[in-house]
Amino acid sequence: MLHLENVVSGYGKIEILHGVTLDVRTGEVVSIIGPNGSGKSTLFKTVMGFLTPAAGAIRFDGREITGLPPEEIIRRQISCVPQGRCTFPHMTVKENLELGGYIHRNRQEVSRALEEVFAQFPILKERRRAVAGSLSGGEQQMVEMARALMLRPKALLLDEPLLGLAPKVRGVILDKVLELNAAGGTVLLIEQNARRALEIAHRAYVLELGRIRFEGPGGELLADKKVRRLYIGE
Amino acid sequence: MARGAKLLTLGVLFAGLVGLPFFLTGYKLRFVTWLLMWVGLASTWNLFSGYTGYINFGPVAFFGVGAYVTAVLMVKAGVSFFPALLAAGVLAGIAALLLGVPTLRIRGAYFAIATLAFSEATRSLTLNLSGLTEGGKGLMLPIYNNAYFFYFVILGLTVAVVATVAFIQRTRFGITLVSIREDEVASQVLGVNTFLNKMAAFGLSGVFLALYGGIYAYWQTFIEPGEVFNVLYSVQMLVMTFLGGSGTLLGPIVGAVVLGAMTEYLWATFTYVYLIFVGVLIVATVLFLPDGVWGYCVQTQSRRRRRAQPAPVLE
Repeated sequence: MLHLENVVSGYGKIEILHGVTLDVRTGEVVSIIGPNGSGKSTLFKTVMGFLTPAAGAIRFDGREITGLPPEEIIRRQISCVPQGRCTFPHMTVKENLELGGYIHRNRQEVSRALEEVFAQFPILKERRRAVAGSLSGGEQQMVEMARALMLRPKALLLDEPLLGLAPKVRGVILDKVLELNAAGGTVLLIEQNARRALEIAHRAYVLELGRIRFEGPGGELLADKKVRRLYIGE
Repeated sequence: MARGAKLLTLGVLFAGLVGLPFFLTGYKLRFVTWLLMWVGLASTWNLFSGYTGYINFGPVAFFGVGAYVTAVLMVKAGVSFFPALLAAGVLAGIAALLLGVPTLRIRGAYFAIATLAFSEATRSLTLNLSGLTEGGKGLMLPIYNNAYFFYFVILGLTVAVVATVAFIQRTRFGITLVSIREDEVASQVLGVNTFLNKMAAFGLSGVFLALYGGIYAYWQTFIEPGEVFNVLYSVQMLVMTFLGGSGTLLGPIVGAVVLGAMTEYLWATFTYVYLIFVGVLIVATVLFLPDGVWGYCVQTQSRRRRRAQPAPVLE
């Protein structure tokens, strides 16, 4: 569904990704793990159109999206949750979600999407009138995920959703990812927390210094001695 | 407030503003006209900076451009007032868009510095293009001695500005602008073309500022670069908006009226030290009412409403 071929990207003259090829198939959870500075966020920004690749091609749903601006890529129904807290802090949860439906021109479509999202995240329905900035970190992360789902995406990209969350809350977020996947959603998860990310992934890629170092089914990588030693710390 | 009561208030207010000049003369009429202009200028500043959070520190550039385009067209080309004013609005709109292309990519203090630099540059340019603008000598416009005319032109423009802001607040465009202020990256991630939206708001604010500048020039009959490009005008728009509450419809109106009336009163009473009082007032507002006078009212109101209807508690 999402296919990157030899993507080279970076900031100005500084090349960060030196030719990355990867595949995300419909209905999969694919994790990308790697240490700081390996190019995980650059990959995210390149797929979403915030950075234009210097070479290579990105295809989504059979069509080329290389070099399109973010709003066009989002119109093709890829949605994403960027790294770090990214809610609109002074707006209520409901307003945050409604803005998630920004690209829908039709009001009914927005309210239908809102109902669906509330069904998936009952906690947010109860909190809908609260100002997003007053929620806990985990709840805000859920607002961001729910907001991304307002687009009714074909694929969801998550950039380090576990960053800065308590272990218990991390479990809740990952359960949500699995739940979405069980309902037919395709997820690309970029995560530094290697063990957790590999546990829930169908397939995974290990990124290092801008290149794919290992790839394979999540469980296989998790069992791989080299990966364990380098990225999980055994 | 119910819809009917709201409409009635608006109607009474409007009738009052239309009837007002016939009860005033001379200084008082001039003061009210001046106040209405500042209500409009602060609202225009708020239209862009209040909603998007991009602090424009050089709005006076467009005010001055408007004043000079109107004046030059009237004096040097013999164009009559309204066509000259229209041309000023269009030109300033284009100037705002051209300035927006490089500056709307930078944020925070950098955007403020860039706009401040632009307004100083336009002042310098006007000063040095003396073939066209007469430089530091200033320009004398045809005298039109009709205080009612200027009152009603400024009233009309200010009503238009406030109505535009009220309208924008209810549209997708308005929500988009607020989302840019709240978190621009999040906004982009939802598919908002933030650059285009910022450009539209910035261009529109440029047009309105220039219209005020043009009317001001004709009203004052004499302009010179040091006055219509005065940095303090920019500061005043900013202070009035923050005093009342930025990012709200009524904030800049409240701020302009409060600061305008207060300055005038203090100036008349304590001519030599009045700025000390104005300064204390501004510092006090920032310390005790960080969301402005109107922002404070809105907050207490919503707090009271929330108390009356508690939100569901979880966990």
